[in-house]
Amino acid sequence: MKNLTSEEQQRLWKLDEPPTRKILLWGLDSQKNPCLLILYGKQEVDQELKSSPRSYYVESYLLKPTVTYTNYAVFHGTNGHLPSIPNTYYCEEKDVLCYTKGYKTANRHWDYDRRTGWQEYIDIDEQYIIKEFYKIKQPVVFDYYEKKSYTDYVSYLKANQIHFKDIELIAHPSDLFDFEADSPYMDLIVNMCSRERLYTRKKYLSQFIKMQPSEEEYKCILKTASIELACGIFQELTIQKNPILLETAKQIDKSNVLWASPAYHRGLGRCINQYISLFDEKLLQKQKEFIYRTLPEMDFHIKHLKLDDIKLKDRELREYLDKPNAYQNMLSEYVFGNQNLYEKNTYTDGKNVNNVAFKNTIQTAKAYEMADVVGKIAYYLDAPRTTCYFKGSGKTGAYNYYQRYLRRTLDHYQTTDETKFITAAREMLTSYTDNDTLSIDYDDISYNFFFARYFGEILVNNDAAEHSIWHRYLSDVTFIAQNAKASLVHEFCYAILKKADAHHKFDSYEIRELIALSKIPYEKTAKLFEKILLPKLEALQEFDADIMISLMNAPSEKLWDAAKKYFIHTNGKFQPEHITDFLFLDTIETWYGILEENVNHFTTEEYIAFLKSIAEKREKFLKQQVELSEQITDLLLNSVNKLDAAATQEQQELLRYFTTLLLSPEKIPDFLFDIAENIIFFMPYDILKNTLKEIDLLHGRISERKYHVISLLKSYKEDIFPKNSLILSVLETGSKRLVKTLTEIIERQRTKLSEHSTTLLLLFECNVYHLNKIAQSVFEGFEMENRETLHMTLLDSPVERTYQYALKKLDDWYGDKLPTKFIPRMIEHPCVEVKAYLSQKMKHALSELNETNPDLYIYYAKTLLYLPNKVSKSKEHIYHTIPLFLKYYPEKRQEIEYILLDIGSTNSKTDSERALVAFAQIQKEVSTL
Amino acid sequence: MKVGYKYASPSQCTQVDNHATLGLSPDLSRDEKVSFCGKLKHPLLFRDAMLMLREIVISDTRKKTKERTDYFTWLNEEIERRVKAHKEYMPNVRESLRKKMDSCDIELLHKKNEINQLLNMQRNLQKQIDQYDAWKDYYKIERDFWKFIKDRDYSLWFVLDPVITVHKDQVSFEAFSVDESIYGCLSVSMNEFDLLQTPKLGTTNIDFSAKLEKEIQRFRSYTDVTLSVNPEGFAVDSDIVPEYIEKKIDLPETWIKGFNQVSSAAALSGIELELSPSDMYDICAFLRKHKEKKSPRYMKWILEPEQRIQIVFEPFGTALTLNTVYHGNQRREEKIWGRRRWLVVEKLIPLSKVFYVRILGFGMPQFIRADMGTMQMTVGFSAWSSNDWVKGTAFNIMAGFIGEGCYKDIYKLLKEKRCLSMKEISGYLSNKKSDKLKAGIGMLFRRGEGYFDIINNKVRFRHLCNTPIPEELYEVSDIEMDVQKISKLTFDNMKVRYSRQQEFIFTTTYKEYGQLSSTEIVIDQDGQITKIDCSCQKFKRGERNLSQPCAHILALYVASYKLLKLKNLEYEKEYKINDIMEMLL
Repeated sequence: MKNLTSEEQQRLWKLDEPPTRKILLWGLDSQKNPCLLILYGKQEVDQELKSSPRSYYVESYLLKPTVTYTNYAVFHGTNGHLPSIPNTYYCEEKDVLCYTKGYKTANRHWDYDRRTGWQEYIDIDEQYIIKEFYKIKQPVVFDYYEKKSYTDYVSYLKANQIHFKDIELIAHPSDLFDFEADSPYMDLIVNMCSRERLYTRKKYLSQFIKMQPSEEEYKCILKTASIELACGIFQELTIQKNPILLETAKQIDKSNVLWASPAYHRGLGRCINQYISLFDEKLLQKQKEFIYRTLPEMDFHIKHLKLDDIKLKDRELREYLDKPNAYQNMLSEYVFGNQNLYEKNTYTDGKNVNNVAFKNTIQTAKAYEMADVVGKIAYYLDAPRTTCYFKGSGKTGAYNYYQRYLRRTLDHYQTTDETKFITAAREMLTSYTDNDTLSIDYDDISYNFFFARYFGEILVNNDAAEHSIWHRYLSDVTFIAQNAKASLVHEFCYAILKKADAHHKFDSYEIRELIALSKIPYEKTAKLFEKILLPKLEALQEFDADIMISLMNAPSEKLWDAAKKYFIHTNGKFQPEHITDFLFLDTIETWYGILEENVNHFTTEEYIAFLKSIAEKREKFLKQQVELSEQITDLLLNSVNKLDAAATQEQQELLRYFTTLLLSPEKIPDFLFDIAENIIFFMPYDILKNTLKEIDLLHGRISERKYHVISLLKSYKEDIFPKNSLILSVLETGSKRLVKTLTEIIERQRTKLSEHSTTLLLLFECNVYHLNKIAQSVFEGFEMENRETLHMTLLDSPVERTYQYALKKLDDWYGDKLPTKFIPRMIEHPCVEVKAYLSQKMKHALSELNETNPDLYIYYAKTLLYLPNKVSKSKEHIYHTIPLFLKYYPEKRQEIEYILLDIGSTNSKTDSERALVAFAQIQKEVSTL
Repeated sequence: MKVGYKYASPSQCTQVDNHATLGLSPDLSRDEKVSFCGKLKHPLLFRDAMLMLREIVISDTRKKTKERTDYFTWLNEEIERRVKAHKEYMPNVRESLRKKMDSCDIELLHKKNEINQLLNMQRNLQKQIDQYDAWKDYYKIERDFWKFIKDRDYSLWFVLDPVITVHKDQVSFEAFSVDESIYGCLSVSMNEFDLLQTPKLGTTNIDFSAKLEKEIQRFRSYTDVTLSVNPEGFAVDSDIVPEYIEKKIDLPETWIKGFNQVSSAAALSGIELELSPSDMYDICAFLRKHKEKKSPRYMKWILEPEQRIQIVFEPFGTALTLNTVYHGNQRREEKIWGRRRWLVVEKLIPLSKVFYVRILGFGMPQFIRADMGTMQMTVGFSAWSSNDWVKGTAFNIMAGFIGEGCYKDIYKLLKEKRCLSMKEISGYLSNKKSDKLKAGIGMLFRRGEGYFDIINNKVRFRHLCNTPIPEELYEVSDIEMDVQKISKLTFDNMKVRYSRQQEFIFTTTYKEYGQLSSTEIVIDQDGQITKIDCSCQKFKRGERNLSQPCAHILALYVASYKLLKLKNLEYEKEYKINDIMEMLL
């Protein structure tokens, strides 16, 4: 091989199969539509090349210089437009021409033949086979290595009178593209419309656009251009933000003329829309918003998984996916592309990716130069979950396309626009997690292509770290270090920062910045900045509370020690506002002692300033969703006692301040509400009453909690009794302080309670002992006439405490002589205890039984008698009263007898005997009558 | 399954003089905006029935395990605190302590006198404070409250909001207990109401809080009670910002599955017995008097044709003879487990004219229907087994609810007609095969889109949840299909042995695709499976316990449940299927 001539070198072929060569020509069909004619011919092997003449294995081949073109295919255009250049494959064993996709997705099977042994059979889907594929009647031979122009081919074919079905070849490309034959564009146009490889065609297109053709010249091309070429033109113009074809694009968009089949034409529509949107701020914004909104959907997070017939979900699924190499292991389970692993969204139907949408977003992001989006998508593609999805579902081709596309974009950014590259890289690096099995080794399927390509070198090569472009973007590196989630990314940042530190790049950094950087959750980086920070801190002479608080909020004990030292050597002192800032600290629990000490040592003025400062920062508390621990809330609530020492004027001022706060419809944090409530109701009655005189308690629509406080304040102010709904609500949901205040108000106005019987019932039924006692004392002070009505209501109560009290009072006040008015109430009570009590008194009350509803009596008797294994004594009382009842209501005899016989037939001896005795007694009394 | 409910306001009961309105807030997130307003004719009956429904909801017969997480958290923290303190203060601690102690001793003497004086003052003050303190019992009450929350699992009470369905002919309230074992359905006939507006048909969850239950208890015969289901809610104070009450609830999947299963099981045929209130009284009285402490805990119903029904309560061996006569043709014995659950019906005894008990067979639910005139209460008890797969898979196989059948046609038909008998359904869909219809109705039940009305023997349309329930809750699993396929082979080599521990040991072998699988299950006297084994690959690869049974074990279980009534078996003797068939015949 070493001795090959340069001519032979040209003909050298290293693959097993000799190549199929193609010649692409243009023509018009019978409909006068432009067509593509592709001639196919196999370039035969001339000679086998071996490493030595005795070697069995053929190393490579020398091909014949000529190619005999034996077949041709015709591809028709639509409505005056050329077809896109097809990606075809000539299947020799079946002698068919098909699209490459059809060949790749064809069904294959092996079969044994006695003569030929095992043989592979291929079954290509009909839809991918090209119908207009014919044999050329007389073979056409061209020297493959001799440079020929379009006209050379056409004139040869015409000279040899070789004709093709339904196509008339055009003599010169200028006839088709409406350009002069000697136009400087002609060569480029021919190449971008005829080259076999997509990226070669794209290269010529870029050259064409660089020559800045006029609008007319563009239009000339678009007149016959294929969808593919038109898409390319519009995409390039979008990237270059060149509005030259804006009007033309709008016309094409509006037109109903299809350039190809509707599905292909939609692709053109998308490119045109991208182009048009670029020059329309609203549309552009809308498209960008759509991309940002749907961007997380491009990530292939598994939501459902079934393994070995077991569905994994929630925690189980998370645990499974967090295991090392989980996605790689799933490849052998064949779940990708077969199970609904994902939530349905813009980019997936739950099972498979929507390639059109996926591709469109990537292309749009590139076209609109959304570098951050490009970076994010690159991360998604780099994560093993995505890699494994594409590779495991047989979509490696698509994956490679996306990867190549993004790689080219990022490479382009890297060489032409560093800022964009950094933006994309920032997005990527802050997205990686340790679960993405970050690796820069090539032999792993989870191989993180982008990470290794753009950042791997810095990790392994000291020199690369030293001379990296990142040194010009140190603020971005520190940003990444602060937000990185993967340790390898931290290592990457550290490698650069270490070098930067060696060159004293951080010497000019401010203390605040250095504190923030010392909080980086990667020990080595944090220490690097700590080392720079500590001497600077020691050099400070004046106390700055912000620096102190920032140090206190660091997660490092070393910085806490530094904070303490700093506090001491600068003779630090906190103002009340600074103590408020303590409440925002993530490490507040650590500094609880200092908070407590400061709060306890506040003077009254300081304390009031502290309270107001908390209230002033309410929005910040809400925004940062600060939730204080119980210990701190208790400290703040208990500290209200300090107001004891405040002057009346101060107390009144504070009261006004917090009442106004509660009257506003503005939302406030829960703990602030508790403090406000505590302050308001901590004030002595006189001050509260006097101050409220000046405050207008009118309010708009406010929350229920605020409403409670304001309503109770109104009660104080106007000496009015609280509404029942308010009492109920406060008792159910109010805080300790509020219930206590309510109790005080009721206590103060207890004389009015006798007019509010419903309120009294409410107080009887509530869980507050003191309120129960107030209600009892008011009730017991009633006059006899008024007392009975409420007494009956109390007996009706379903609350045990209340009806037991009412029963006790019945005993106390009436003994055995139960007034008949009470009987109907008690008969219907749902609780057995009340009914059982009544049964004891029945004998004495029965003298008035004629006034009782007989049906209710039967209901009452049944509910006791049919109660299994309970209230035996009461049952006995009932049996005794039955004959008496029948005396008044003889018409109910049959019904009663049925009940008695029914119970008499039971297996319960006692009940059965009693029932039968009662039955016999009735019979006897009847016979006596 | 995560569901969200949205209510315009909480449900509430307002009472003015003798007029009470039970206002139920419906779930606004449903498509059908159900509404109803009618005055009850028998409020007392309604009250007692609703209170009983609530008892069903909160009934929990599961074993209570003591959770001591708080204690252990405290313990860990305490240990940590002490270790830390020890490390921190140990060095030189003794020396400094001694010094301190000496000085403290002197100080102590001075302070003691002071303390005594202060204590006296404090005592006197405390006495005075106590007289006026509203907070005397606060902590006790607070403790009780938290205990209540813990005991009752308050959130669960919300979880189990009952569903109310307004039909053309009745209003039904359905509920399912916390322990997923009791289903209750109160059907109130339209004759019970004086309608105040035209009802809008549909189903909704109702916000039925404990507070509302308290208010229901105030109903009396002299109160006019209006039942109102109002999508607009019930407003009180207009000063407060109106907020929709939204509940986000994680419904246990087993709960939904159980609810659907029991409410649909009524569609299966079984024996129906008419019991008088005194019979039910007898059963409940016995259960109240006797609390079993050891196994077996079943009650065996002995049904001799034209004889009074006898119930033998194990382990006491006591027989109870009921007044009801069994009119069936064949002698039967039915064992029922989980009998203490029957006590939920005891409050209905005085209200009911008659009870109907429907027994479907071993491993299947039982139903008690109480006839109270215009109101009917159906109580369903799920099969008594803690094995979820038995509840699910075996039930579907035994009920013939395999596959989807013509579910779509049935759904469409019932959505339009709302309530149809099986005969009417097959009349409307005469072109469909009966097994497809059965499977389709089964699928409707499994999806929670219908339930079987045992009173009128009709399938009623009702959406249990406001969103379609997840597929895994109703899908026909592969294992169910496998069981159906291999169940024919079960009896071929089946053998039974009765062990000295009084357990049934069932074995069989299956031959599929040339592979032999030997399967064994052991069932104790309570009908619980105590051991399983199978030589098939699937079982061996799994957990090898009840959590992951293979199709063979399920098929053997389905076949063996019928044989648990075998008696007089010799200990440790192996009976082949022919012997068993002879004994049964």
